[in-house]
Amino acid sequence: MKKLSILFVLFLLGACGKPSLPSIDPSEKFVASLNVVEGTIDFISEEQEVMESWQLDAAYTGFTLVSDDLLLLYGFTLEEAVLIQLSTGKQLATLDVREGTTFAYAYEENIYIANGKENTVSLFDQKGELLAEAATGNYPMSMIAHDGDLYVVNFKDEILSIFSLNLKEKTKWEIPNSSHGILVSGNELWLGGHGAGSSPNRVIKRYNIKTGELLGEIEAPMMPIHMTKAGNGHIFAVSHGSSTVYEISKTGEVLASMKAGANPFSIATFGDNIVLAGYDDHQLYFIKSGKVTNKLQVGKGPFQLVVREVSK
Amino acid sequence: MKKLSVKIWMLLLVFITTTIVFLVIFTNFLYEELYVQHTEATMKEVAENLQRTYDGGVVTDDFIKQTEDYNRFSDMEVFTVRNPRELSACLPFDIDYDTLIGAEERVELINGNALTKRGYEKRFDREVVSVIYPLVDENRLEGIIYIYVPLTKIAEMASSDVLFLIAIVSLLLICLAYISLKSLQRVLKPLAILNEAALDMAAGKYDTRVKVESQDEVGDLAQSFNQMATSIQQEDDKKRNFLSVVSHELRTPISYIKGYGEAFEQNLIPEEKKAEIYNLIVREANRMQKLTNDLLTVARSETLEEVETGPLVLAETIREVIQLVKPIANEKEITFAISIDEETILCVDEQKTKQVLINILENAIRYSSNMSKIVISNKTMKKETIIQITDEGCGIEKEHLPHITERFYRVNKARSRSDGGTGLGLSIAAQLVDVQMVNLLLKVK
Repeated sequence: MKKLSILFVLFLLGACGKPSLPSIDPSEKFVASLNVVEGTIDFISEEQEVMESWQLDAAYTGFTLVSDDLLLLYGFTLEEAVLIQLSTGKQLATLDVREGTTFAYAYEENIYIANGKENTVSLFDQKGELLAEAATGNYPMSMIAHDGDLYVVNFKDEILSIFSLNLKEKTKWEIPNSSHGILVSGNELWLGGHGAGSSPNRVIKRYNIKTGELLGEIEAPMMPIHMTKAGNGHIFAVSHGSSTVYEISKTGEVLASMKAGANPFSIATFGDNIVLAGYDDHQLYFIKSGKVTNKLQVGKGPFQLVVREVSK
Repeated sequence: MKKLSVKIWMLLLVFITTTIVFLVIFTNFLYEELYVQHTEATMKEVAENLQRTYDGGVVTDDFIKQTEDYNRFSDMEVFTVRNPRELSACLPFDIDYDTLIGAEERVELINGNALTKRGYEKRFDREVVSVIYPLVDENRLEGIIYIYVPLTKIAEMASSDVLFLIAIVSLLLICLAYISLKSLQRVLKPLAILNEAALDMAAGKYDTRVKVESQDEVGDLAQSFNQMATSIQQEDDKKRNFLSVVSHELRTPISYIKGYGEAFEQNLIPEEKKAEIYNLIVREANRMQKLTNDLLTVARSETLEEVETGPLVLAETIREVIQLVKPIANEKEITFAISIDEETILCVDEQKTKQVLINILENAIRYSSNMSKIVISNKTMKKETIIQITDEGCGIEKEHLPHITERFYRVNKARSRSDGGTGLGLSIAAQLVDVQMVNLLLKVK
């Protein structure tokens, strides 16, 4: 009887605190999909099975892996971004971002937050401290760091802003409106996009990463917006307008293309597989050697993928 | 004060107008509704036909051209959209673009469901009715077939007929107003005739009758009116007749008295006749007195005096009455045979009952021959008694029997009142019996 009452008290105490999310085994590799319609995160193991599912309590629109054990969640309408420890499922820190977070990018120890309402990019450390902030063009979104520089794509602008890693503005390039999807390939910066107005974008633009000179275009209709580098050095791009995946060589030649997914927004490399998230059909597609080898049902509206390759 | 016909007509007009207006509105609503439904059905058919020609994969330029060809043959707008942005494919991104379909619609379409919309569409800046059919390959929304018809077009089509409709309705209204007025007049005309007839009656024209052929309530009323007029006329005739009879009855004794009086005045009567003439004058005077008394009784009983009922020993009463009529009976040496149950007690008005018995007995004595016998008997049942008075007189012919209680009725018109009767005896008896709710039965053996 006494044991029972103690248990009961413990249970009550547990219920009082902020409920932690299910923990994720640190030894497991995974690809995680953020399902924005349903508000869940599905963690998928190497065996291509859903190993854990998180029910989120806020309208998170994006996430990124800060370290192997630290996941950052943010939302456009939320004033806080949260850092969650995967091994415990506990929230470790919050970032006081303002409303309008469009994208977060983790590089080394730094966390960069782009804000599409304030038109700023902010630098936080992993404890949630704001270190620096800089003004950008209209609606900053895609970001990538390379060689001591941070490249910020302004989605509703015709400017790509380049900052130092501590957010000192360096230079600007001219780019098309509605650009999205950024990747560094050798000495080139590849940039996809939706295209402005009623004419959809069909190409990935190749820029000289040092000078910003436009080197060429890769035909990848329609609306290439996300790219990932595979183990073999090839680049896989997804065009959500035509639900097509393109395999592109380092030199920018389209090697192959295939239809996959329904309105896919995100593509990731997970081991030997290329993983594609079909936003409209709520499925992850596992692609290997140019073929869909597996489809996996996830929560509604898979919008982003993150991959944890390195296990402890 | 408005005439009843005008009031009813106004009411009818209000009803008719309300009904027509309501019907017009309802028809219009129904017409539009049906038209829109029909348009929708047509659009769906077209969309389904077009959808069937889609083989999957990318929506080709040929397909788009083929759908747009439809526009040439119909008044609906048909087009195919394959731009992912129009189809809300970029929705998770904050794109400043007014898409053709929304997120929820996209979900419906991906599931293969067609959409039907009715209302304002920002893209076309007008009210439209539209159908959207998805072009789905596996689970990819490759495009949509969008067909719409501006709702205003439908309204315009309806409004072109409005003038015609208003004209028809007005005409119908006028016709109905005229017909209802005429029929009302037809129905109510007999009432006016009746009114006129009633006024004539009031002015004393009792022979007024109305001629109404209708079989309705007004017809019934006219018939009742005619019956009433007949009754009044009969009553009037009776009254005249009565007065003439009364004056005649009075004139006879008066002329006797007057004649003898004048003869006395001029000393024309011989001495030995004088006693006889005096006797005659007294007799006629008595008759006049009796007649006037009887008339008084008739007048009184007509005003329906109150009946004061009380217990009355029948045998006792009969004996008293016989004492009263004995002098007349004795003149004719008529005897009475009485067989009355001594224990019978009636609950009647004493004076009236006695009067009835006297009148009947007087009548019996008057029409009995000398030395005859009058039998008075009674038979008592549970709640009533029958008093039977039987004489051995000359009797009466059956055809006269129903009339002998009428005032001054004479079986033999030539017969004078020499027998001393006033012609009112039985009439008074019948009346008194009537007011006491008993029956008088006269029979001939």
